[in-house]
Amino acid sequence: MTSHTTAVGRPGHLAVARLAGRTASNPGLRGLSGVLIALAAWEAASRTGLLDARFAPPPTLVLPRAATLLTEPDLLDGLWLTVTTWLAGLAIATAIAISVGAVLGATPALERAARPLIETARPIPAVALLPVVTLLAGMDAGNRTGLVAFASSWPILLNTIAGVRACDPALLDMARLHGHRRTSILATVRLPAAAPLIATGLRISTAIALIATISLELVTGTDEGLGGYLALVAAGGNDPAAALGVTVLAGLLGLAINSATAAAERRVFAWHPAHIRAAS
Amino acid sequence: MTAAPAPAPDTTAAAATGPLSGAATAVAAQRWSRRAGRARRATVAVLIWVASLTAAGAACEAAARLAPSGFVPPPSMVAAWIRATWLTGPPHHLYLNEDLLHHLGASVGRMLTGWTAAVILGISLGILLGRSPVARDFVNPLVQFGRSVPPVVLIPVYYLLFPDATIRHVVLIVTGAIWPVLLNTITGVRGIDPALLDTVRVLKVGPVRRLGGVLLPAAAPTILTGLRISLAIALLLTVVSEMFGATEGLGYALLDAQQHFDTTAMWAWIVPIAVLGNLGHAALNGLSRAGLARHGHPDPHQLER
Repeated sequence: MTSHTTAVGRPGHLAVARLAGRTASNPGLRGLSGVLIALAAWEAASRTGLLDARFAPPPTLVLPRAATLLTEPDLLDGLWLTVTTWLAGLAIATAIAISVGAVLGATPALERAARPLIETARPIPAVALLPVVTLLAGMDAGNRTGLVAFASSWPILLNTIAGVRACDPALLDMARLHGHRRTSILATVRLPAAAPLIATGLRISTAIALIATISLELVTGTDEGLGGYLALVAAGGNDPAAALGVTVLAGLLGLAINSATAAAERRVFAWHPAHIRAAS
Repeated sequence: MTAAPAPAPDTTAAAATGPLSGAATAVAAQRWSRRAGRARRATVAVLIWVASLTAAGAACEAAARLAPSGFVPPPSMVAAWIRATWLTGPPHHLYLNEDLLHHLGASVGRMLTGWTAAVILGISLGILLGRSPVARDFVNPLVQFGRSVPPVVLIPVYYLLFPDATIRHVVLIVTGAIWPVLLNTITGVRGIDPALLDTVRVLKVGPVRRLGGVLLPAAAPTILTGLRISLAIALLLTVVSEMFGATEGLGYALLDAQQHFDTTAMWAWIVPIAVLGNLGHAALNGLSRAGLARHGHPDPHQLER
């Protein structure tokens, strides 16, 4: 990659070129300056009226507001509820998707019968079911958890099916020779072999589950969770810095979770060819 | 739901020409038998689809009739409502009535506008960032942050910033749907064999041919996956966005039915949303299969990445 740097990295603009030169071989510093440039652009747009400052205040107002938000008990309660709903939904999705996926992946006939149902249900957005669930059972954290599980189970399910199905035939023959039965082969050979693929599905589902949780809280209009808090602040209309502040906090929460899951995946499956290839 | 491709009518044709193989070349006979096998497999696949979905529908029907609830009507009742309400239009409107076409048209228009903009922006930026490690270093934290923000969180802010409803919906769709395209294009372009790029440089291929003839085709499989994911996000955001301060669209109609406690209508409005989701998914899957097959990639079994 470094060989391309000289050939490709020839930014036309002088200031940027100087910055690029000074920060060479330091991606962290470059990333930081990228963030600062973006914040400065936002600040300028908001100050000059390019962005309506009544609705999109500059970052010098939003970021301090986001920091003070973190000390408000209402927001912390909301954050706690969001995190618990997210984790519970994800746990349910993982448990169901891995067990169903393992059975379907190991039983081709069953998989063929279930495939049309999976393919039909998967593209249905979870929010389309939201009004139904609201009418059926009211909308509390428990029902949101169920919808979060529905929305986030697909990547784990599909990757488990694919991973369990694509098991190395030599491994299966070996296990059969040693007298293992179907269920024991599933538990000791197929599932462990599928683990890296399942982990990838889990990482994607983790992100989907967080987005689904906050979206559902916002859409249901009950003032619960981070999304509910945002709806409340936005409805008040007199604290636009807080509305954007919650957005920033939600983004940071998502960023922390995404980075953590990606790092965990790399660490646990460092031996896997895909990660070795990515690292080199 | 969306009927799978019609069974190829080759089975009989192959049987009829089969005996001729003595006269015809062996290659032709082989091609016929392979085509017959493919047709048989396609027929079986369609039958499985029909059987599986029918069984699921029957199970729902039985459950709804055995344990009646005011909120979950049997599927047959929803179907009857759809026939009586929506299938009343003139033939040149495919028998669909004004109301359905109005909301469906509004949603599809916004979804496709937003998605197309996201695709154009995402692929252009993605190629730029995929080719330039320096640019990538500069924007990496911004991209990571941007894709982590749940797009729906921006609805309240956009509500104030964009008074025009259609612009608001489209901007929200772009903000949410751009990330999978952008990230997958970056990954796809970065994954191009360096030897290929060196060859292109040595041969002094022009920028247009380099882009259209080398970069895009080489990154296409990864980009297509991004397109599929982002279309699903675009549909989701269309529906959510239309639940806030809209007066038309599928999301609006769905929420309106719920607020009037019209349960049958509410279930019925889920149908066009589900059909749209399935159509988009099927179209991009077909595109990506065709593209992958042409470039000699194996069927990726629709993995989530």
